[in-house]
Amino acid sequence: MGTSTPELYTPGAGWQALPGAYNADQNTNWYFPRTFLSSNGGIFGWDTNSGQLFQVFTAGNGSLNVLGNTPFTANANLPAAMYAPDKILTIDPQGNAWIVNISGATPTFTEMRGVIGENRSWANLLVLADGTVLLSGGSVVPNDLPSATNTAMLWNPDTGQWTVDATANVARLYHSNTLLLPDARVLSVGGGAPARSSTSIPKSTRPAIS
Amino acid sequence: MNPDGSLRTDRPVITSAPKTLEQGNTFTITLDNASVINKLELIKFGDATHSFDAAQDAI
Repeated sequence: MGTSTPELYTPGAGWQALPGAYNADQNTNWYFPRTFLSSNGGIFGWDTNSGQLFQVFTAGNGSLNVLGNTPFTANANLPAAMYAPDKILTIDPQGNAWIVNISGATPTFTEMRGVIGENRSWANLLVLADGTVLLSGGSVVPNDLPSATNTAMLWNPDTGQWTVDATANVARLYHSNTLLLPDARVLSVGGGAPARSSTSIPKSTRPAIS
Repeated sequence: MNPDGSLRTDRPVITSAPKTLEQGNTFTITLDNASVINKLELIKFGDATHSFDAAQDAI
C-alpha cells in the first residue's frame, strides 16, 4: 500500500487498507512516526522530520485529522513513551523534555527545559513497573561513540522530577533497545557505533582461506 | 539494570486475568496478595525499534 495509507489488522479477518486516512506528508516523512492509542479510540501521532500532528480513526475506510505541528523538532532518532493514559513523554534535540497531552481535541505541550541538557539521539524511554520513566543511552551526534551518554535518568510523573540513575558500561546507540522484564528489571541491549573502521578489527585474528 | 523494587521477594503473583481486553472493558485481575499494592501499571511486553515502541501504551 505504500507508507502513506494505514492498514488495519483484525484477528481472524486479516489486513484492510484505510484509504480514507491517506496522509501525503508520509510520502516523504515516512520514517517511524510516533503513534499512540488515544482514549477516544483514535490513533494520535506525529511524523518524524516534519513534526506533523495527526489523528487516524479506523472506522469504515478510515479518516485523518491533521492537527498542526510539534513545537519542537521531531526526529526519528528521539524516543517517546505514553506513561499515563493520553500523556506522552518525549525529548527534543536540545535536550528538553516535553509532555504531550492528547486527551482533548487538539494536543497540548508542556516543556521541561534544560533538564537533560543535550541531545540524546537514539536513546530509549521505557515505562517501568512503578510508573516512572527511564531515559537511557543515546549520543549528542547521532550514533557517535565519543559523544555518547551512558548515564541513565529517571523521570517521576508524580513529582515531575528528573534524577540521575545508573551508569552503563557501554554506549547504547542506533538500534539499541530497552525492555521491561516480567520481574521488573530492565534489559538494555544493542546498538550502533563503532566498527565503521577496518582498523578496529585486528588483521591477525582474521581467518585465512587455506 | 535493577530498578528499585525489582529484587523484592514479596511481589504479588497474578492468579487469574483475562486473556483479551478491548477498550472500555471492565475486568478483574486476581492476585495472591493484593495488600502490598499501592498502584497498578498494566504494561505489555515491549517490541521497540528506532527508539520507539508503538505498542507501549498506558491504559
